[in-house]
Amino acid sequence: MADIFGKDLSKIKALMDYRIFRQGVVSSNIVNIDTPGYKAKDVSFEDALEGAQQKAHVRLEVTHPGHIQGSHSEGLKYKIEEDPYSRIGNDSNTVDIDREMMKLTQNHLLYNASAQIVQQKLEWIKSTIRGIR
Amino acid sequence: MDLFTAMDISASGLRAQRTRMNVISSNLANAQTTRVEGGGPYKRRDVVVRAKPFEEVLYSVDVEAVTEDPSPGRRIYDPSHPDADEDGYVIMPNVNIMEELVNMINATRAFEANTTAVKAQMDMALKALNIGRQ
Repeated sequence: MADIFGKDLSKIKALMDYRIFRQGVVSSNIVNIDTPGYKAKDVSFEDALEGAQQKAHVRLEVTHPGHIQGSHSEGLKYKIEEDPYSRIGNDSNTVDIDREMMKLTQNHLLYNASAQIVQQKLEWIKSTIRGIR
Repeated sequence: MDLFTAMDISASGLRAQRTRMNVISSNLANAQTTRVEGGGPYKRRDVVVRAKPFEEVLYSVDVEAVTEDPSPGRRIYDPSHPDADEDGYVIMPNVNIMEELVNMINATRAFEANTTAVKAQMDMALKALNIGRQ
C-alpha cells in the first residue's frame, strides 16, 4: 500500500533495527574480551536485509475491504557467524579489541546517518503538507 | 532486542571488570600478609569469567567464581620476622606485584572499552529520539 511515507522508510527501519542488533553483537564481543574460549561474532548485512525483504511480504489478516493493510518487519532473524577476521589468542579467545572498537564506531555513525535520513524525509513530507512559503 | 539490550550487555562487562579490579586490589593490599584465617600466608585470588547466553543469540559476561591461586609462595630469609620458622625463613604470599599491575591496566582498558560502548549506545538512542523533533 502506498502511503505518504513511501517504502523507503520501512527499509530504513529494517536497516536501523539491524544496526541496533549489530551494536548488541559487538557489545557482547567487547564484554567477553577476557572470557577463555569465546569466539568473536558478527552479523552480516546482506543476509539481514534479505531477511527483512522476505518479512516485508507478510500481510495482516483483514476482515473488511476498508481495513488498512499493514506490513511489518517484526521478528527479523539475523544470521550470526564467527568473525572470520579475528585473531586467536593463547586462551583461544578470538576477540580483537581494535577491530571491535572500529566496528562499534562504524555502526554508531551509520545508525546516526540513517536516523538523519529519516529526519530529513519527515522534514520533506512536512514541507510538502505545509506548501512552500 | 532494542538498544537497552546492548546497554545491559555492556553493563555486565562493566560489572565483571569492576570485580576483577576489586580482586586485584585485594591481592595488592595483601602482598605482604603472612597471616590469614586458617593459617599460612595470603594466596592470590583470580576471577573466572564465563560467557552467559543473553536473549537467545547474544552473550553477556558473568563472574563465575573467585578462585585461589594454589602456587607456592616465595620463601625469603628474614629471621627477625615473627612468622619465621626455626631456620629463619618466612613464606610470603604468592602475589607478584608486576603481574597484578599488568592485570590492573588490562582491567582498566577493558572497562574503558565498555564505557565507550555505552556512550555510543546512548548517542544512538538520542539520535533516534531526535527524529521528528523540530
